Amino acid sequence: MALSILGAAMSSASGATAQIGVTPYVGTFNYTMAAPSGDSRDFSNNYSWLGFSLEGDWFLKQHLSTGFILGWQEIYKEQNGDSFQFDNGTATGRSYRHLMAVPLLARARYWGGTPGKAFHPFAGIGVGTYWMKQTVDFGIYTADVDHWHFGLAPEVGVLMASHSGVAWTLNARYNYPFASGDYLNGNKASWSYWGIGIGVAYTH
Amino acid sequence: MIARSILGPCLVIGLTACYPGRSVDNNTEFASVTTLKDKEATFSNVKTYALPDTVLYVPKTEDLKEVPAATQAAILQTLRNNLNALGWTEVLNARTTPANVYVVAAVTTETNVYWGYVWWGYWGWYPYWPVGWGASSNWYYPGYWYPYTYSTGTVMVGMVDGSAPAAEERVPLIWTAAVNGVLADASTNLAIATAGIDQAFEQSPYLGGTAVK
Repeated sequence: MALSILGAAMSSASGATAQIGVTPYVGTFNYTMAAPSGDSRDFSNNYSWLGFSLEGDWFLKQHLSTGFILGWQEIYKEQNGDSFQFDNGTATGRSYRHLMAVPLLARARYWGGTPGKAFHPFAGIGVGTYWMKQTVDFGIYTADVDHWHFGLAPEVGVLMASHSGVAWTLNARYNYPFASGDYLNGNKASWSYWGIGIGVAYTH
Repeated sequence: MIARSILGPCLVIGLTACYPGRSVDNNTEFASVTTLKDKEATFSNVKTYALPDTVLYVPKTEDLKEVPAATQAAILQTLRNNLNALGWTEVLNARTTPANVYVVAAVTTETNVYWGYVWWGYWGWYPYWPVGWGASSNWYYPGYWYPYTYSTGTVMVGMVDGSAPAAEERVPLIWTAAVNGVLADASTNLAIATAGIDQAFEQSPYLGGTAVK
């Protein structure tokens, strides 16, 4: 339902197909979901339904583009009876564990398919920084810490061109910030997560 | 064209407005229980305990504030139930019969005051011409500060080793528990306190002589 509304809002009376590989620019807005992995999964093992990314790609060659990714993802979990173990004790109560991820990446993509056709698979990799914020609310207390990470984000996906310069995308991306920082447990953390994005693109 | 250019920012604003803050349905969700033990202490040799007949309010106030009698009785009985469940026996007169451990309980509260500011003012108008010396028919209410307060309470339980001598006015505390939360009505506070004491013993299996992995 939401996707059809987006499509209707962005369509016009023209019947032209999105010209991937021919037009110089593709801008995309993605709704993203995430499955935590590694340190993220250990901290807050809960699927994320809240995220988005703004992406742009400029074609250097017919099948090669470079661009950027600007994203935001929330991974969080609330639970009663959560226990934290210390060296000589235990604390138990209702906890709210929250991770905020803001990837800022440069990205290169290789596009398959034929220019002028509707279907275009792609594979790419993003390189850049992630701003990560870890928050724990426990009882009447709250603590948070944030750090910048260098990271990589390999991805694969498909683009389906519609009309009037509009296209729909589906992609899977593994977000991997390298371990750094000094988080609430006193250790470094990576906070990696798998992302699934459903997007609407506009070619120009 | 304009619709396309603003659709992206609108979607961004809309999604970020969904920031998942902590959800709180009840004051009881702020309760927490913390237990600490002396790593050198062993509890396998503990067979007897002594419990006072009073739960103190700390720190001592000028008006000699006390914990309500019903609350004191409920806290002490909950402690007694849990200590008996460990297989320990209560020593009723600690003055004449020494006990392996001495358990004490105290209550403290704290009131926190915060100031918020409503930055927007608003205009109003008088429905009639005010009597005065050319006073305006309009009035303005500026932004204002407002205080809000909440109180927190803590039940503290300490277990003192009865066999070790007190050195330099320091008692040998081998186990302690703290039940903390936001204060509400008396019955809710008491329910949180007694449930918290139960949880404190549940998360301390070593008290029963069980080895901790």
